[in-house]
Amino acid sequence: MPSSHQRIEIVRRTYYDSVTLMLVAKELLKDGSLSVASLSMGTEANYKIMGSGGFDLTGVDATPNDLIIAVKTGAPEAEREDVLTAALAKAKEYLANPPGRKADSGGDYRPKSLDGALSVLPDANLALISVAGRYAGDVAMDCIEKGLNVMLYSDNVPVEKEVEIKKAAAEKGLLVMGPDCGTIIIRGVAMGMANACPPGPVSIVAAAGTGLQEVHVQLARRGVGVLHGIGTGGRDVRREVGGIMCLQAVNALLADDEVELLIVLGKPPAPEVEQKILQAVKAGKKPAVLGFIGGEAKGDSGGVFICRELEETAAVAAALAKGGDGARARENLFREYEALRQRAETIGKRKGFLRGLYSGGTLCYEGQLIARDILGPIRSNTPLDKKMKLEDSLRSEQHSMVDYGEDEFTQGRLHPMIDVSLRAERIYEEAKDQEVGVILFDVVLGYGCNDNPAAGLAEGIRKARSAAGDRIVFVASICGVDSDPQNASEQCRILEELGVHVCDSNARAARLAAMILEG
Amino acid sequence: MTMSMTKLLKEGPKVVNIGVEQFYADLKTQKAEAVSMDWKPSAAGGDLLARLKKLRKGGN
Amino acid sequence: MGPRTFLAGTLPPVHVGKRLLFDLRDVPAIYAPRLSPGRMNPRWIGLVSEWRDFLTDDLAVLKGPAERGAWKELTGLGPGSTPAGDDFLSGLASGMLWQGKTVPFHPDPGLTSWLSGDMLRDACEGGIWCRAKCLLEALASDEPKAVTKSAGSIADWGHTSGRAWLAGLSEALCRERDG
Repeated sequence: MPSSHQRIEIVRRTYYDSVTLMLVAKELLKDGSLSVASLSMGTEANYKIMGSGGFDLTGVDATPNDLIIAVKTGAPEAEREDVLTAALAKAKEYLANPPGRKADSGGDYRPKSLDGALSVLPDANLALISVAGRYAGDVAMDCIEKGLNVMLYSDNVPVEKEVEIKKAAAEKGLLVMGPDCGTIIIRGVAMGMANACPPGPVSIVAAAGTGLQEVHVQLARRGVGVLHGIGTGGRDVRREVGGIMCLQAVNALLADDEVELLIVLGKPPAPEVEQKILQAVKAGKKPAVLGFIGGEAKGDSGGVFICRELEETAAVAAALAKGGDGARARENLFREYEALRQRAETIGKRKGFLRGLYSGGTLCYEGQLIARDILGPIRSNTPLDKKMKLEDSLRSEQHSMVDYGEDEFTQGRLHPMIDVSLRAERIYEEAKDQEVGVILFDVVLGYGCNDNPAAGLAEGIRKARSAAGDRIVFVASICGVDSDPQNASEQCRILEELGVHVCDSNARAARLAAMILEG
Repeated sequence: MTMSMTKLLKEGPKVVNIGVEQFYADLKTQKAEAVSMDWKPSAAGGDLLARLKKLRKGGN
Repeated sequence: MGPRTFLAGTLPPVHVGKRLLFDLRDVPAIYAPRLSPGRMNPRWIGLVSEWRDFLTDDLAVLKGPAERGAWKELTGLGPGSTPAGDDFLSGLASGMLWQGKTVPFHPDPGLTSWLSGDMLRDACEGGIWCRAKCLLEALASDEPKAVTKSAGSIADWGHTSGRAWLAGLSEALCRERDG
């Protein structure tokens, strides 16, 4: 019986952060003896992903606390055993001493305790926590005890822990941004995944990472800067948490004399929380724009503008910040959206399905809202309507939009804004489906993100083109600016050279994509 | 009540980075003050050293 | 005590066991390995305390004896081409002497390799290597960059030597505080 091309080993009850796992996998592939190297935690989603990556996982019984090391080789039969054995040994060696690690901090000592860190930076005022969710809550409590504000980038923190942390912080007048808060701007300094836009008169409180990024970027494109962008994490405005941090941040910014206009952004909060936000904002006597994405069309309320989309929120806020007419700005924007129909005709209408592949949760959400109005129900792993949930997130059905930033894809894996390979591969998969007419995707730039996402996605697009020719139209939006490390114009050029239709915002891209397939 | 939060907003961030090293690198690129921790989970979770010290001092 | 290390451009072909004699009279000395007394800035105690935790994983074998103060047991003990136990004892010796205190053990070079034994004896006689000297100077200062840079250069030294040395230093600098 021929020896196996693959070897799988489980390391039980261990913890490695996704960056380390990625570095080790990369290193294993360097000498060319392996065709595939995968290191990931034993989550259900990773099983599926490894399966579709060609590994046979029968009999593998890893749990999410276990590490699965999987290697595959194309070496001739006589050499396979040795190659695979050597690879596994190297993998374990690298895990103990991750390659490329020392280079990062230039050999400087990195403190291993909070006390040690505070001896180096005694004036510290913020802890940026991005360790695995099951540890992050306790780390946050330690930081709060030391009087630090907290940015909790980590997700998978239990809601009871979140409430405990936020109550403790509120008692000390400290801010807890998160869990699952990916984007923060303080005095124009970007933290987590955030864009390099100039500071200015606007400040934002957001329960949504890419929502904050999109509004930040859209304001910058209109010449308006943001001083503070405070994320609260997606769960804060739900009833169980009650909007504790959202309200704390709203009140702090309303009282801040450097803030001329306030934006509050996110999915529609629980009704009682929405009431509190409205009250606070009205009492604040500053111009305010509430961007409740996908909320009911309530209309503006006594000087407070209420918007339902991200670019709309930015357009209205930008007009107000410049002393202009917010309502007029909104009307103009929607007129521009209507004109996209022209562009759709020029590109040439197509028949078939829309497949949206997103890295940003709020962008995917907004995309679904917009496309649904034009094409009807959209299926998703994060659907607007529970009945529209995809049975298998790796298999699209009819019109589908997939959020690759969702937990199932990010547990024990790098975020899709850092690792674009899954989406690039999916683009190719979708193109092989004869019934697909348009593929829509977002490209999120900024600090913390992949240093050349367009190039990574381009690989998938090229393969897709060779499979589908001109049958498929590619539509994209770039959430970024030229001063981002990746340079938005440069990213745009890469995509346009491949015939991708790049739009100025997610709202435009989703509309264009839907209009191409309309009726 | 919100003095500590206000301090953060007025002074700008001075960050203890716990986790992804790239976030620390990005802060340094923007010339922000920061220190990066080499964090590993411990049996007790959180900062074991600090917890043990607390216990040794007989308090909590 | 003469210079213990020098930089040689080339060597003649040699067999194991062959003795080589070097005339270093005209070789400029660039470093004086003499430890001068100093005081740790109390600011760094949180950081220095961490180094006791280096005695885990590959250095776990040192932990028991270190906690018991069984210094003799540490001689020649542990991994590394200079056994990590000797590195620990060197760090401990340097830390004590720096603070003007006595070294709490007599080195017994016979219990370990000749190189490691020499290193240990030098440390107990007030000799100190360059990186370590930089670290002690940084610990006396208020300069975080100097501390993290010099501590990092030692933590990365060898496979285990640097970490073991820091653990020993930490023992010397922290033990009084715990009473």
